[in-house]
Amino acid sequence: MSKNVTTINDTGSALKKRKKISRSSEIWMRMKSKKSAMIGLIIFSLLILVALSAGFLVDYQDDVVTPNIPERLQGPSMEHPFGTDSIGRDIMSRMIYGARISLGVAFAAVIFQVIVGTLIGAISGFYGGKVDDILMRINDVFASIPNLLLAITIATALGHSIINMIIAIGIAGTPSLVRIVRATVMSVKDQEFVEAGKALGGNDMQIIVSHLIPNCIAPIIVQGTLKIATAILATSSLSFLGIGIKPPTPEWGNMLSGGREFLRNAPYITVIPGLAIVTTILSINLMGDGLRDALDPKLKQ
Amino acid sequence: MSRYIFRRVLQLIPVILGASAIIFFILSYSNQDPVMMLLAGTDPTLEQIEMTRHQLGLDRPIWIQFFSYMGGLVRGDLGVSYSTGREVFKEYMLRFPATLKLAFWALFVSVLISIPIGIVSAIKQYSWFDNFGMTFAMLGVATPNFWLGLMLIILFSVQLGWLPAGGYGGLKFLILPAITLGTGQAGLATRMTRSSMLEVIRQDYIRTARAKGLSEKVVIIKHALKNALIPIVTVLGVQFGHALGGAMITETIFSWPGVGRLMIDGINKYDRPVVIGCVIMLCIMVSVVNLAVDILYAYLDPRIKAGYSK
Amino acid sequence: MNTKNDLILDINNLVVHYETVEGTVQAVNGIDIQVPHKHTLGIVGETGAGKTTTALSILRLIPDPPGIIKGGEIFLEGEDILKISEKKMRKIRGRDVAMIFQDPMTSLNPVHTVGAQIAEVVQLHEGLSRSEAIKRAGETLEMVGIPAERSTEYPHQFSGGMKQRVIIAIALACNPKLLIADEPTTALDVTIQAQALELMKDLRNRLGMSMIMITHDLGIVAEVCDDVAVLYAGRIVESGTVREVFKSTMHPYTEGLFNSLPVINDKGARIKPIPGLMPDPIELPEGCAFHPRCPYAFDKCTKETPELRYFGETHGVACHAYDQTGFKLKRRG
Repeated sequence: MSKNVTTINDTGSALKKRKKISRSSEIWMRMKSKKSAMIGLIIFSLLILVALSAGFLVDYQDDVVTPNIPERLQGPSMEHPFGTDSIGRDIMSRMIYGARISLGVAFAAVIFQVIVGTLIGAISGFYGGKVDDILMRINDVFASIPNLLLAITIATALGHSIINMIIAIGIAGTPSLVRIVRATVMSVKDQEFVEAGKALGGNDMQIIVSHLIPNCIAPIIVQGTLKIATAILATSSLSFLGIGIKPPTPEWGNMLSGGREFLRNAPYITVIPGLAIVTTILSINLMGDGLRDALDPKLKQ
Repeated sequence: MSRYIFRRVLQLIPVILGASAIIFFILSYSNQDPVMMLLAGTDPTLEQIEMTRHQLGLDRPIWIQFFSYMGGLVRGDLGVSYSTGREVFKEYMLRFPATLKLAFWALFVSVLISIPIGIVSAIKQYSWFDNFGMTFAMLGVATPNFWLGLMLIILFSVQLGWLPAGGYGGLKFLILPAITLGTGQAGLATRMTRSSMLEVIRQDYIRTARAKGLSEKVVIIKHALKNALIPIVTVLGVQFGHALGGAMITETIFSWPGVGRLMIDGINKYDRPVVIGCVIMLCIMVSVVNLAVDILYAYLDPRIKAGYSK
Repeated sequence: MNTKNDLILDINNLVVHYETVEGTVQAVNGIDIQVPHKHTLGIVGETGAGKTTTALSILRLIPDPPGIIKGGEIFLEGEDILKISEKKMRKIRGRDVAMIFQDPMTSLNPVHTVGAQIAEVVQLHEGLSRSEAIKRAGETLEMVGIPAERSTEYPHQFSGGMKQRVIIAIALACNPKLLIADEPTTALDVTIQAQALELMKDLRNRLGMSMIMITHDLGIVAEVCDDVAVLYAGRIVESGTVREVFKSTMHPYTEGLFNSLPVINDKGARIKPIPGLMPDPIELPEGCAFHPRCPYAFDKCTKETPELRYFGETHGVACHAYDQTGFKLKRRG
């Protein structure tokens, strides 16, 4: 009998230890077991690597922006693996720099969304009542304007710089994040540990920062990841329409747009940046779906 | 039910006014001067500039401009275009039929693709068909409309020469834009159909239906699909509403003379009345479609109908 | 013993597994069941013993994947339904064999009227026109004690007990020969339970059906059933007439079930629950699945799986303890 008791105790402490060894390694294990998520993660990591090392790989002045008319509209070859564009610039070099712009704008915009969205969502969810009412009405109005249109309007008003793109896309994507953070905060704010925090005399800001926001991290990570894809799509859409980042700065959307007049003779100018966008968004979505399943196994079908 | 609709319409008003105000102030903040845009290329004198400014009412303080615009809006007046001098509402209505046509056929394409693929993927979860369907849906979500449109043009217009690359007219002009817009929408709708069906086919009442001896087809269509439709209809509704407000990208690629192009032109010319007018109409379209979807819910689910009449 | 012709249902050596990522769930491991015409069989056991799986097998409604009927025969009036086509099987479901499910709250389709849900099954099996079927639906509702006018209402307008009546109406609409009731009263309030049970008993007698009553409530078995089979970890451990199993209990597990019941007449008596838990059906213990919890277990129980042995004509027990001459359960001793 006594032998039995010890075994039970042993398994008990082992279980506890295993729990401590951490949620993050458990999440990582779950993520690793999903092949599509890992493919997404690998592709996306490679893209980030390319974007970060763009400065080492190509020379911005010589390869990316300076026209080279004699070599214009050359199809893919050994020298120019993706061919050259209408004024003879190497498309591959421009794609590499374009990755930096597209991913950079998207990341910055999503960071903006996460900061602003978390702040507003947490305040709204925590205080409730009138504050919540007012913030949510304003949020609803913003949400009632389709994302792309809101981004276009803001970008038009601010002008076509990279910073303005970030702000435009950042603002346009914020309302949905506010909703998610608010819902999560509301679901945890009445739980005991928050009450305990209050009882211990923490002020509102401390409670929000140390108790409520940590509980929102999982949904924020998932949404944030998926929103990077949306932001890339928005950046390239705006640039395609001529409202976003303007040439000669290479951005996948404006490069693609630049090929529209050459669909017959040089379709690769349009095809290649598009493939890059599709690949990027696909990899992010695969990764995001995997993350969501890993962070919240209950949601998994 | 009618009281519910009335209440919903009332709730619309502040949202539309709010959205208009946001767009108004965002565009007013612009450092671009619509007067200079309008007079571009004419080498105007200072007097001319001031006169144009006065004519457009832009010399008044921004609050006065705002309230006078809103005053017009309440009376149903969307103002006059800076660049063409025509009434925005008339201009909009001139373009609306083309947009309606495109939105409708895109919805048709989307439904035709998403619902069958979503259903079969759910029934045969993890089969090769499911993998194929979900890959298609992932690609649909990941492919930018502007690229898909151009790829279709390269294939069907440039290479095969079967369909026109743009313009407005009969069915052959409609096919590529409708497929471009519809396929993009279908990605999300397919995923939604699948996940909603997966949820429903596990329910006990589906087992009850099978235990009656009904064929699988009847079980799926009559018992499962009707229960699964609400989230699907929601997604399709949002997409249709947005398309009705003007599919800017698709309309631009295919030179489709709809309200999306009107909006883009307005933006490029800093034509504030046109842009705000289009945004307001878009909000109205989205809201009307949402309302229609909500009413549709009542026909799909008697519990929701009971909730409305409370 | 009953001759084959008397039997409405004859299950031989049924084996059903669920093949999941975590492993193979051995839900049903060789079950034999016989139900004579106009008899009611109670199947008793804890949650996870394989009761519902057995019931669903009779309708061939095991969810596949992951469920697979690995072996055995299920004769319905002499025909092995595991060998017939799906199309033929559909004619049996709802017409010859009907089922009442556990949870009335979720077993009705929320978007169709209750009348339509009853009419559907009549229309399908009896070739009635739509209007005739709706009329029949009304009559069936009256039969279970619900006014026919309510047939145009939706499930959410009914209470739990009323919903269960509707489910009973759906099951009985085509006068099935065999009715399977899977814990039909578990989800109901106690007062409603008695009503529903009374209704089912009454209808069974009036319509002359055979019935399988799945339950974990021994009281229901005593009240409704003629025969009883006790299920543990996918096997029958004891079967016989209600009188045999209740009055001369032979299997240690059955004894445990009875000892777990509170005794109203003897306030001093303590409830003696069975120690331990049902084994994980993915990793069933070697030998007799009950041996880790059995107070009588000895060597052989950990090695060999006991077969059902008959003591008398109908009373079967699967227990090695009876190898020892003179073995008696404490309860009977």
